[in-house]
Amino acid sequence: MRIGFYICHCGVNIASRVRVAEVAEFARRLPGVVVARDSKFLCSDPGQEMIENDIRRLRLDRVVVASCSPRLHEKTFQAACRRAGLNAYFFQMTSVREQVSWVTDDEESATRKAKTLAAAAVQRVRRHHALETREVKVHPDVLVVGGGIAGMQAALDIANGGHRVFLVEKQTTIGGHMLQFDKTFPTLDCAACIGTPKMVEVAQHPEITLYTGTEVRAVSGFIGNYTVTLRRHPRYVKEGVCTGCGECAKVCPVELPNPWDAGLGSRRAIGRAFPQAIPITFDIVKKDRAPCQAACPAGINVQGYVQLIREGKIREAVRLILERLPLPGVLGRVCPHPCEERCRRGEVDAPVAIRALKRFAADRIGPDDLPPPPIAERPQRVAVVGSGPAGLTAAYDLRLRGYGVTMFEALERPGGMLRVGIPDYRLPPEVLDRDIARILRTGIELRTGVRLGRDFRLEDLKAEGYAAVFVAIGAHRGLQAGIGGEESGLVVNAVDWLRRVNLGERSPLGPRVAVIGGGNVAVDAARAARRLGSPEVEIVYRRTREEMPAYAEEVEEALAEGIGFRFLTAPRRVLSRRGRTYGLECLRTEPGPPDERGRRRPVPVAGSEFVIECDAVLAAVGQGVDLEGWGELPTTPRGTLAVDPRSLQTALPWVFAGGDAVTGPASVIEAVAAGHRAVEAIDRFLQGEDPAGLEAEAGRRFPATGEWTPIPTAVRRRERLHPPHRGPAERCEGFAEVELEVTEEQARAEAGRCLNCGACCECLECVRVCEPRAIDHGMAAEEIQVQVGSIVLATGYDVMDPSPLKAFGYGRYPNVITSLEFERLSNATGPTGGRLLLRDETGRFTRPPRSAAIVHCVGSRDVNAHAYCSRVCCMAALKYSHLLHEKVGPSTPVYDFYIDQRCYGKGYEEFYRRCQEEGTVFIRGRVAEITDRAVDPSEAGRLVAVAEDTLSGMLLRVPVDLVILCPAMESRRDAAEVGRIFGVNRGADGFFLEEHPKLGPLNTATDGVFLAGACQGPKDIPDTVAQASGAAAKALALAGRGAVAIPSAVSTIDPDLCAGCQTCIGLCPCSAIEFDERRRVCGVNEALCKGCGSCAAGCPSGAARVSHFRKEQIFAECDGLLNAVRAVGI
Amino acid sequence: MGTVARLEVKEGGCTAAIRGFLHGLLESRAVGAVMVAQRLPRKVLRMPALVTDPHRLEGIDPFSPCFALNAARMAARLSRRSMGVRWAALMRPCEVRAFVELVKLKQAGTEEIVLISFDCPGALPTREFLRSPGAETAESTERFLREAFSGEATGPELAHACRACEHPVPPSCDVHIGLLGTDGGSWLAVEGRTPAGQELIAAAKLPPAEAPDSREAALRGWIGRRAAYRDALFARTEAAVATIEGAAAYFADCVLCTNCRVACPLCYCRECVFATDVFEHDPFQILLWAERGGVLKLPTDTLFFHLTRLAHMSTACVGCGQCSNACPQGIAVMEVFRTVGRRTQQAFGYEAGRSLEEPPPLSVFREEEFPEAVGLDPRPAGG
Amino acid sequence: MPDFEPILIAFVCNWCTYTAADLAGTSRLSVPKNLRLIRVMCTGMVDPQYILKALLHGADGVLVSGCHPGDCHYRNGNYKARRRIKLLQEILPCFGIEAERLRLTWIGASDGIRFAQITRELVDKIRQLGPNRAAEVTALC
Repeated sequence: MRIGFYICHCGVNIASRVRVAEVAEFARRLPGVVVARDSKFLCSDPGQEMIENDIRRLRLDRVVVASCSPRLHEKTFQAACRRAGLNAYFFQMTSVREQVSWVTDDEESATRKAKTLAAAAVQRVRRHHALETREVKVHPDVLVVGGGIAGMQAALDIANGGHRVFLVEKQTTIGGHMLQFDKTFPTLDCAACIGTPKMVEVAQHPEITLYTGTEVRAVSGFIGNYTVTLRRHPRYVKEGVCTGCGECAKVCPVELPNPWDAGLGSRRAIGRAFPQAIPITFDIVKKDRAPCQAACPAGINVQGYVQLIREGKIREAVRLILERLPLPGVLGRVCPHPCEERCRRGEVDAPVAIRALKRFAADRIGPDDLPPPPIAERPQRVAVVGSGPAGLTAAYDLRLRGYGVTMFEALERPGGMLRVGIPDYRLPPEVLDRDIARILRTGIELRTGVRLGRDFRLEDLKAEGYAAVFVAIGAHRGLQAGIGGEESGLVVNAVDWLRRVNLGERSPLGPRVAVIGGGNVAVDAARAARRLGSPEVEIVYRRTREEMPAYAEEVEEALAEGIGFRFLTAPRRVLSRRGRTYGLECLRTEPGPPDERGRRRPVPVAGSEFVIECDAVLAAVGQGVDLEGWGELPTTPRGTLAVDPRSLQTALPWVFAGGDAVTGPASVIEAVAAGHRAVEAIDRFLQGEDPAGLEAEAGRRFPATGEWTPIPTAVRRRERLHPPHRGPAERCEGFAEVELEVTEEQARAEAGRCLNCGACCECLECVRVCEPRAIDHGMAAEEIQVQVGSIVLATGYDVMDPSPLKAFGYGRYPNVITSLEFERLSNATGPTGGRLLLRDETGRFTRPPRSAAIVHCVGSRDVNAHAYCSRVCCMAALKYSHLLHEKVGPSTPVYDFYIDQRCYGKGYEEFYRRCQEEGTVFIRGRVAEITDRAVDPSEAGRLVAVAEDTLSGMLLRVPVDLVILCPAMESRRDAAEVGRIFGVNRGADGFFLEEHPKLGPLNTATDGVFLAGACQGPKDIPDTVAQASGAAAKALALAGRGAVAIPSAVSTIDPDLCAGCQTCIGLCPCSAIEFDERRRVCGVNEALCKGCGSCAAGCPSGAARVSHFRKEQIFAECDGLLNAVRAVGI
Repeated sequence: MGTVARLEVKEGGCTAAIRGFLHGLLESRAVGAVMVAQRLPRKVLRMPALVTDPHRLEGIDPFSPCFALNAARMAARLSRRSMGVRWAALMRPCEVRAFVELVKLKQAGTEEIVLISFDCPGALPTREFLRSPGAETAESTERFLREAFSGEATGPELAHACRACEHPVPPSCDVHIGLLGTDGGSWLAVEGRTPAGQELIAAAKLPPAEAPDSREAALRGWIGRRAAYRDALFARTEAAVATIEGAAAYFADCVLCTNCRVACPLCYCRECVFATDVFEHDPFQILLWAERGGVLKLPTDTLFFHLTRLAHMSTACVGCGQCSNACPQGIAVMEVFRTVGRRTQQAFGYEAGRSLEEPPPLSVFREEEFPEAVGLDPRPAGG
Repeated sequence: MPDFEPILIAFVCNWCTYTAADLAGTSRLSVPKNLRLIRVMCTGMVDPQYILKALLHGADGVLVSGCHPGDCHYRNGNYKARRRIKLLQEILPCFGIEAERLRLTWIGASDGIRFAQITRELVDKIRQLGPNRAAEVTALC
C-alpha cells in the first residue's frame, strides 16, 4: 500500500495553530505512508499538481488530505486524483481547519488533534475500495416554486434556455411582493412598469406552464429525477374561459378586505387581486357555508339576501329568498329566526336583525314586481291537500319543476294556520294574500271549501289522474283541557276561537278572561281577547315562565299590553252560575320530578285551591291532526300521520305528507322545510327514482372546511336594528300590525353589520351576468403530478406583524402603518388610487398627513425579535421620505429614525444624499415609543414618536400625523413545512439554509434543489433577480448536461451473507430493497438507494453495507484515532 | 383455552401414550410427518428426527431430560419452504418460543407446521445427562417424569436455564400436552389451542375431557419456584458482571469459538460478522493495541463479541440455555443473556416468543418515543 | 482525578451536526480538544458495533448526533438511531459502562453554538465520570 499524505497551511488559517510540518512528519511514520508533505494552499493549482505528480511518480494508490472541511473541497481533490488516474474513492479528507485550528485554543493540543485525525484518515483510507461514480439521466424540465420576481426571473431564464418550466404560485396571481410596491429604489421606476411586463412574458411564454392557486404537496425522487405532487385549489372561475371583463365583480354583493392591499382596501368575493393580475382570470373567495344559512330549516341563503339588501338590490334579494321560500312576507314576520341564534355577529355585539331585513325586502317587492320564473312544463299532475305553509311551499316548488298542481283547501280561503291561526296584528291578511298571490300566479289551481274525508278521498284524487298527492292538512283540532265545566261547554277552545276571530267574527268575551296554557296559541288568544275589549286577561300556566313554549318576544309584548300571568297554577274547574262563568278554580303547583323528556312535571299542592274570577275561560292546551271522516293513512300513537322521515312518503307510495299533520304543532319555517323535502321526494318518485335519495343543491358547493371569514379585530360595536313598534295602548285598539316598517337606510345599515362568514354567499348573481359562462361554484381541488430534473425554490418572505411590539402602537393607532401598507397607499392601483391619506377611527381615508415619521429596524437588529438586519429597510425608508415630499409636498416635515444608514448598493448612497437635500430630517436613534398622549398643545390629536437622538444625546418627542414602520422581513410562516417537503434545512433565522454561505449560496443540502430570492434571507430586488438568474443557470447547467454523476455511496447486500430476514426492507426510507424469493436474499435497487445506511446498521451479519462507509472503514478510522491519541495524547 | 381431550396413560407411561397419539396422527394422514426427539441406537443423547412411518415411532423420547440442541433451528429449516404436506413438530416450550421468533425473522414458516408442546419439566446439562446412569434407557425418562411431577427429584440437578425458566408452558402453540395435575400422570390432557390443533385431536379420535382443575395450582407452584430461582440467578449474575473488571473476567476464558452462537437458535446469521473480513485485523493494528498496555490477551474482541451478540439478539433470547451447553470453556453464557435480555426486552415492552404479532424491537420505530435516550442528561425511562 | 482528559468520539451526520461543527469552526467558537468527529451520512447508519468498538478500545465517551426529529435528510434515520442507542443504554450499564458515556443529541445544521456548548458540557460530564477502563481491562481479560 502506497499512501500519500498532504496537509494544508491554508495560509495561516491552519498553520497559525497547527505545526503542520510536525504533523506531516508524524504521518510519514504511519504504516503505508510513502510521502507526507505540507503546502501553503493545497486547493491551489500548484497544490493539486503536487498531489497529481506524486500519484504518478510515486505510484501512490491512496491519498489523504488534511485541510479544510470536506464539505468544501472534497470534490476538488477527488478530481485531482481522478486526473492522475487514481480512483476518486481511494481518497480520504480530514478537516484540520474547522475541526482543529479554528476551534482549538492552544497550539500543542491543536497539533496533537491534527495528528490523531491524520492517523485516522490514513488508517481508514487503507480500507477504501474503488467505486465507479454512477451517472443518472436528468429530466430536462424544471420546477420553480413561487411566482414573485425571483420565481418569474428564474422561470423566464430557464424557459429562454429552451427548457420547460412548471411555475407554481400559491396565490391567485403571480407578481409577489414587488408588484405590491409603488416605486423601487434607488431609480424610482414604478414596480408595475417593470414588473407587469415580466408577468405577461411569463404568462405568454410557450415553455412556461403556470399553476396559480397551487401548492406543492409532496416531492419524491432524487437529483435529475424528481416527482412532484401539486395541489391546485379551486378558483371557481375557469381559466381560459374568463375574459376578465369584470361584470361579475360589479354585481357581487360581498365585500371583503383585500390582502393584496394589505387589508387597507376591499375586493368583492369574486374578483382579482389587482387589475394587472396574471392570469387575468377572476377568482372567488369561499369559506364554509355561513352559519345562518346552515341554521335555516328551509336552507334560505341568508347571507346572500342580506348582502343584496346592503347593496340596495332589493328585487335580487327577494328573488334569492324565493328560491327557498315562497312566503317572504309571512316569514319576515312570524319566523322564530334560528338563523339569528347562530349569527357570528353576536360574538361582536348582537346578531344581525335578519328577520326584519327579510320583511323589509318582502314588503318592498309586490307579486307583480318580479317576473314569474320560467317553467318547463311536465305532463304529470300533483294534488296538494291543505294550503298552509307546507302545502303552499310544496305547490310552488312542484309548479316550478313543471308539474301541474291543484291545491285543495277545506276552508273558504287559503293559508291554513297562517290565516286562521296567527292573529292579524302579527300577520296582516293582505301580506299573506300577497305571498299567496305570487305563488298562485305560477299557474296553480286552487279549490277551496273542499275537505279531505268529507268531500273527497285520496283514492278519488288518484282516479282523477293525480300522479302523486301531498297531504299537509296541519293540526287544527284544539285539544280538550280536561277540567271541570268543559263538558258543559264552559271552556272555549282557543284554536277554534282564534279561527273564528281570524275569519272576521269579532264578538267580545266579557271584561275578564282567563286563558289556560303557555304556548303561542295561548298568548295569541290572550292578546286577541285583549283587542276584543276585555281589559282583564290572565294567562294561567302550570309551569314557570322559563318553561313557556311561547316565543319570548310574544310574551314581552303581551306583558306590555297589560296581560296578566299566573305561573305554577293548575286549573281545576270552571265555576258557573246559571250557565254563566264567574270564575276558574285553580291549584298552586310546584315543580315535581322530571318526566321522560327531562321537564319537571308540576304537581298540585294539596289544599292550595283558589279562584280566579273571570267571565270566560279559553283553553289552549295543544292541537291535534283532524282526521275526522277519513282513515286512509296509518297514524302514529301521537295521532299524527306516519311517514318515512327522509322521504315523507306514507304507506301509500304515491301519497306524501308533511307539516304539522306529521310533526304536530311546529314553526312555520319547519313546515316550509317539509314542503321542500316532500317535493324533492315526490319529484324523484315521479322520475322513478328512490324518493329517499339525498337531495343535492345543484351547482353549489361550499367547501366544508368548517372555517369562516375571521372576525376582523378592528370591527366596531354597532347597535342592532330595532324596528319601531306601535305603542301598547294604540295596538290594543284593534288588530293593526304591531311591528312597523324600517327605512331603506336602516335596513342597508343593518345588513352592513353582516360579517360575510361564508365569504362568497353563492347568490349566483355573478353566474347570471357571466356571458362566457366561466363561473363554476362547484369546482373542486385537483392533484397534479409533474416530473422534473431540478427545483428552484423562490417562496419569498413575510412582512413581520409589528403588533406584538406594543411600543409602536401598531393596530392601536389607525395612522401607524407598515411599509407594505404605505406601498399600497402610494400605489396607483391601491385603495386610495395612489394618494397618501390618513385614516379615521372607522378606517375611512380622510386627509393627507401634515408630517410623518419613518421608523427603521422594527423587529430587525433586535434581540427580542430578529437579530439579523433586513437589509432593505434603510433604502425603503429613504424612498418613503422622497415619496412623501413628492406627493404631499416638498415642505412636509419627514423624520427618519435610523440606527445606521446602510446604503451599500449601486446608486444607493447617491439616493441617500438626494433625500438629505430634499429636507428629510434624519435622527439617529431607536424609537422607544409611539403614543397619542399629548404633553403639550402642539402634540394634541397627533402621534408622538419618542426617541433618544444618540448623536446629540437628547431625548426627543416628535409629533407627527403619520408613522411608517419598517417591519422585519421574516421567513414564510409555512417555511418549516415547505423545507420538509423539499428536504431543505432552515437556519437559526428561519430562512432556508444554503449549502455553503460563500461557495454554495444557491445550492441546498438536497442536490438539484436551488434557492432564489428572499426565501434564503432578506435581500432587495436587484440581489433577488441576480440570485434568481444564478439559480436558473444552475438548473440549466444540470438540464443541459442531461446526466449527472451521483455519489456511489449506496448500499449493497452480500447475497452470501444475507439470511433473508428482511429487517432492512422495513427500515429503508426509500423502498429501495426487495426480497428475492428464489434465492431468499435481499437486494438493493441502486437507482432508488440514497445511501442512508439504515439497512447496514440494522443488519447483524453485515451483509448489508454502505459503500465508502463500510464497517471496517469506520472501525479503521476509530482505531486510527484511538491509537494516535494513545501515542500523542490529547 | 381450547378443547381438551383425554389421552390415557397405560403401561409404557407418558411416552407410550404420546407414541400412540402421534401414531394416530400419521396413520390417519392428519399429518404427513412428525418431528420428535428420538433415542439413537448405541447412543445416549436424544436427537430430533423426522418420522413419516407410524411404525417407526418406537424410539421417540420427547420428555427425556436430554436437550442436546434447540430443535427450533431444525423446524425453521423444514418450514422455510413448503414441504408439500402438513406436518407436526413436538417441541419444548423454549423451542416453540424460539420458533416464534424465527418466524418473525423470516427464517421459518407457519403454513404447514403444527406445533405440539407440553408441560416441560426441564432438562439436564448435556454433560450431566451423559454422566447419569442408565440415561440411554427409555425407563430413565419415565423415572425422571415421576420425580419431576412428584417434586422429589433425586437425580442430578436440572440445567440452570430450566430451573430459571418461567415458561414451562409456551404462550403459543397448536396442541398442548398437559402432564401437570393429571393425578400423577395417569392421563394426559391434550388441548387443541388453535383450529389446526383441534383438527389434529379430532383426527386422533381422543375422548373429550375436562381440563384437570388441579393443574393451574400445580403450574403456579412450579412457575413460582422457577421464578424465585431466576431472580436469584439474575442477582448473582448482575453482581458478577457489574464492573468492567467483573465483566471481562466473566468472559476471559472465551476462545471465540462462537459455539454459543452456533448453538443459539436465534443467531440466524449465515455467518457471524466476527468471522467476516471485518475482523481480519492488520497484524500491525494488533501490535498497536498491544503497545497501548504493553500486553494483549489473544484472541482479542472476546467481550466485543458477546456485547455484539447481546445487541443483536438479547431482545429475542428465550433463555433455552443451549449457549451455556455449547461452551467448551464452561462460561455461563445463558445467565448473562437472560439477565441482560430481561432488561432490553422490558425496555421495548417486548417478550421473546410471546406472539407473532409483536414486531422485533429493532425492526420498527415510532416518531415519539424514548425521550430519555436523547440529550445529555439521562432521564429515568419514560421521563 | 483533576488532570484526567477524556477522549470523546462523536458519530455525526453529514447534513446536520457535521455542518453545525463546521459552522462552529467558521464562527471560531471554542470546541473541546477532547472531541474527535467521525462523519457518517446519517445517524441511521451508526451500527451499535461502532459504539461498542469505540468504548471497548479506549473512548471515554461516545456522542451520536444528527438532525432534529422531522429534519432527517433521509426522513427517519434519527428515529432508528434512537432505538439503537436506547438498546445500548440498557446493555452497557450491566457491564459497568455508565449509560452517561453514550449520548444521543439532535444538533441542526445551524446550531453551531449549541454544538460547541453541548460538546463542552458532555466533556465535563465525562470528566466527572472518570476514565473508561474497558480498553485497559480487556487488554488482559
